[in-house]
Amino acid sequence: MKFTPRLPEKNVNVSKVNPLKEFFVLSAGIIGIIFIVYFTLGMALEYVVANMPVKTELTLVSFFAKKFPEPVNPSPAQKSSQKIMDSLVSHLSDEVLFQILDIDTRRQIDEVVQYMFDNELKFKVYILDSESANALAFPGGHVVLFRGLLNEVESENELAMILAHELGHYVHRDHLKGLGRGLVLVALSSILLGGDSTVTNFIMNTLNTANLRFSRANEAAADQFALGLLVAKYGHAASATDFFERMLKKENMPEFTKYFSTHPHHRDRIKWINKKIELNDYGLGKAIPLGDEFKGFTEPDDKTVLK
Amino acid sequence: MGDLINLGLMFLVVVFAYVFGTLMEEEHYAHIKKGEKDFVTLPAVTSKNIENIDQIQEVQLVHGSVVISLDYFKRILAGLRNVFGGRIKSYETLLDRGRREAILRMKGQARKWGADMILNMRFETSSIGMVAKGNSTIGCFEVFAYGTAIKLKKD
Repeated sequence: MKFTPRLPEKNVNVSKVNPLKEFFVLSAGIIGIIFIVYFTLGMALEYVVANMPVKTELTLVSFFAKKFPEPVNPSPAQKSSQKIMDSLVSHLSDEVLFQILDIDTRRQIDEVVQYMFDNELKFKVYILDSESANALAFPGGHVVLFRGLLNEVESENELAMILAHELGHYVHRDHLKGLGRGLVLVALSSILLGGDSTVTNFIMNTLNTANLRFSRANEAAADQFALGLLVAKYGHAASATDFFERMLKKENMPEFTKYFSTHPHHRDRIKWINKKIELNDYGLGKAIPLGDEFKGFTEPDDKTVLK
Repeated sequence: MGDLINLGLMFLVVVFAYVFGTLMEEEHYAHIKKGEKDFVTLPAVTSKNIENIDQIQEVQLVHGSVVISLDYFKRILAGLRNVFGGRIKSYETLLDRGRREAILRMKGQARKWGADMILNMRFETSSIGMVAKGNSTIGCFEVFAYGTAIKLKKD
């Protein structure tokens, strides 16, 4: 046996593939699959949620949501907000509101109203002691106003517009849609990628940005609903855009950030609402100023506040 | 906005890992090729014996071990590959480097001892840095090369 010292001419153990090319091909494939599954499931979910009876919703909610505490000693501001809310709800069947809405939304409203009447339920307003100017709609007809928002608001009409907007979210079932989409996302990521945090995070971040557009469409629909309800209650559309105008002055967001925001840019909302007011000939009356209970409203009664 | 920052950071880390991983790999390959040229006259074979066993003067166990880690880019590539199946090409260079480096270290030990040849050379490969659940916290592996170095009788 003779041994000749020699180096191998080429390496057969390493594939000659550009890793960058492989990376892009694989990423495109996986993101494509996830998008298809996610949007198909999302669409199916939206259909199911939109057609879900109120009773089923409440049963579902009771599985995972804590019961909201009944306000024991409501503050004057909470009482007034609740009064505005009740009055808004009583206008839910008005012809003025129905004119601006599509047939599906009308059907949903009818169902909500009927269910509430049958079960003696009402939409409840809560005030959360927080600085940020925000409001949220929770499943089960709970609307939460942040104290920061009440400090900004100047007229009753403005507050009614905000409450009506949250009511709109409720009627459109947006709160459930958001919940369902989140569930689909989590399930997908854990099935496909086994909770591998690096790849999962990468893909989920990409998807999240796309998901925001859905959310913006929902906000626009809620705005439309709110405008209709405002006119149904007051007979005119005064102060419909007040809150957005105030926020626009305050925040001064750069234009490009709107692609990464869950809500439409304030300027777009104002423009859109004004166009609707003109188109439907709603007219602008005189806004009712807010009562004294909202003036210097800083520390709400602890018992009424959700912690 | 937070998502955008996250995405950007993630992208930066991947680019960073790719650039540095590639540079390190090139440097390592240059080192390996130089070493292989140096050691080409010291044969390491897998046969258990030589023809004339009386020629052997002395034997000695020699070994070389190397631990190599994945870079972030390779790990992501392998994670994506995991979904579709197929050859994990990004790991091939890693194992190739590990094996060749382990042989070089073994040969280095043998030459120091004064060996003429290494017989019965074998490899062991094992992944290390795994935690109990099976999720690798540090993706790395060890290659261990060992064999029997022999000195031949000088006539």
